[in-house]
Amino acid sequence: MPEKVIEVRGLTKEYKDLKAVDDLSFDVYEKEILGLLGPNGSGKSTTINSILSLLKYSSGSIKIFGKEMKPDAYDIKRDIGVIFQEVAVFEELTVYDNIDYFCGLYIRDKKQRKEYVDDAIELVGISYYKKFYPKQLSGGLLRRLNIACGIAHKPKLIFLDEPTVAVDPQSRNHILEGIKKLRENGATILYTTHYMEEVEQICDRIIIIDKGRIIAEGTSDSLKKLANIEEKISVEIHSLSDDGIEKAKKLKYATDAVYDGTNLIVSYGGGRDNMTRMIDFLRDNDYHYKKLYSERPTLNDVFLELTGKELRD
Amino acid sequence: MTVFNAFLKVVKKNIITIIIYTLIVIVFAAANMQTDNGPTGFISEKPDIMIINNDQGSALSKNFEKYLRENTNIVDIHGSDEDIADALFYRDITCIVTIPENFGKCVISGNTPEVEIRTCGNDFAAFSEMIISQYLRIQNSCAKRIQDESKLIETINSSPNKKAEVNITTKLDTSVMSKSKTYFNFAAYSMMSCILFIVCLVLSSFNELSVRKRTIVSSMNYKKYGFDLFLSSFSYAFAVWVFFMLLSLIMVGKSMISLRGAAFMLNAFVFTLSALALAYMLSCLLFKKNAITGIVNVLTLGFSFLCGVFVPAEFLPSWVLSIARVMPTYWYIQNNELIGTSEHLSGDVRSLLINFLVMGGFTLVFAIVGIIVSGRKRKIA
Repeated sequence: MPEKVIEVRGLTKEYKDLKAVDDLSFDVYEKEILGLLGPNGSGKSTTINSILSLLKYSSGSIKIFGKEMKPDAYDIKRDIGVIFQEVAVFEELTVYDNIDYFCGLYIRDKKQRKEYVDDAIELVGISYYKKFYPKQLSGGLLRRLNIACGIAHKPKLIFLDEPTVAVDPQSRNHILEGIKKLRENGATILYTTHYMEEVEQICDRIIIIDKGRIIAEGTSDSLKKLANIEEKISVEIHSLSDDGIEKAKKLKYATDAVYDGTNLIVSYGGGRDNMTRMIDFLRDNDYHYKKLYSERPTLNDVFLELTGKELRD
Repeated sequence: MTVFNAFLKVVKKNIITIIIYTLIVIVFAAANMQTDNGPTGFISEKPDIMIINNDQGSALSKNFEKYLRENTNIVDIHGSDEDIADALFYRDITCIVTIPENFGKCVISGNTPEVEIRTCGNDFAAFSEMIISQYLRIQNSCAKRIQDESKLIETINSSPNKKAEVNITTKLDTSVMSKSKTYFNFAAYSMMSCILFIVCLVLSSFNELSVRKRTIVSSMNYKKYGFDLFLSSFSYAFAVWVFFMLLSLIMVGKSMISLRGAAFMLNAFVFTLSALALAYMLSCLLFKKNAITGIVNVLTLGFSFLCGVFVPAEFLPSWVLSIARVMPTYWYIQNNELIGTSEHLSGDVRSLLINFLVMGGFTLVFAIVGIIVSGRKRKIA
């Protein structure tokens, strides 16, 4: 059984009448990537800030590396790296100097620090931009610099709070690959995001939170089972009557059918050859369609099933 | 050292600004010190006047005319009354003196003749009036006790020629002191600008919410971090002070190596501390880094104009000086005045100390406000 790196018990944070985090309990195990998934305002950042003692929480307990986390727990903080949602760098310092400064808050030895800074630059792929100033970097490169500043001191536990917000796909892939590498190097990662594709791609375990409460917890596959959907078939079709939607709902194994004016989406609870039956249905009813594709259920479907609303709402 | 090194790197990035402010003090102080280098004597100038003597036969009127010829430039204008009025209007002459008929008889009989004076109203005209009235006052006063015309003329002529002997007893080299005062007054603007601009800029970078959050979650003790920042800011302010003191040695010269020079330097050091505390308070109050340049310029220029850095305090209206009292620059300038003009510094120690204490008070207030605001900002929730 891997060791618990973070233990959160009954964490609650109240702002006057609002409960931003409501009795949250979970563990993060050594060398795992735990995804904290939830829509904006669900309490992800409040949870992270409470764990890091940046916020005074109303009740509950937090242990990191088996010790109680407090604002002055500098021995615990030495092994923690944090990458916040907003880019935290000095505009007046170069890329190298920025990483060197933040690494210097943990590592005093100059020689060791130089080695660490070079490793971090290599990891996030910004070697070419070492002498650039932050203003000269694109949004994606800035995010990579932000990550390098947070992980240069080689922490054992890394908090990543929505590190890919407003990042181009190329940089996003680079960042996600970097996070995987960090785990390969032995780090434990707590990753918060509202991008379900990202958690599916990199997380070992996922906690879905909404309105400050955990609504589901497990691996991506185990969570998807909660959606009660095996397959979804989407058809781009420009004209479909209510009668047509009703007919689609009655297809074999179909659990639901929704038409938004352009796409007909039919959900299936199981069965094989659903695609063949759909093509037959369209041909028999003389429906003219453009695109037709099948997909596995997503975490958004899980969220929809559990809360009745979309993850991106 | 991490914080100190980062501090220095940010300062280095803004070195151009520091150079500009230094050049300002060099250029302005040098130009003003050059003005102070001029001779401290006077060149006597005579006003141009015209005399219309309607009492040609009287010895007394001739004596008055002779006195005016000695003390003014007599201009003869030939023409109509209109031409004479034009000459006055166009400042060809500053004054027309009309000696009435029976001027002499009137004086001898103990009466006061009415001498008509028309002036163009400028400074020279006032000077002419002063010369004329001086003569007439003496004449009237002597006429009360002397009735003999020739004796009266003799007495009148001997009176204005009396000269008073003036001995300068001060050992104060006013020329050098004026130079020092000018330099240190101008240095107030540049020193404050260098400190406010750079310290505000650097501290606001360190105080930016995202950077502060990253620092709080790091393993560096936050109190030590705060102390390192203070030490870095103080070191920078101290370096600015040392630089401007060395510059004073170059610009003012050897006279700076004296008790008076040390007093100027000490005053500048206390002022530096006030500027540093003000910079700290501003960096805590300011939310937008972009606003720093504007606010610093408004403050430094405002302080300088209101407190007598650019315009000597004696030329400023009293209401301006009343406002200036709530600024540390005012008390710094007051001390510069005392140090630069006082005959014996020891006699003004009390006044100097009071001004130092007021500056110290400002330092304390700025620092306390900064600490309170900074503490509130640290509570992110």
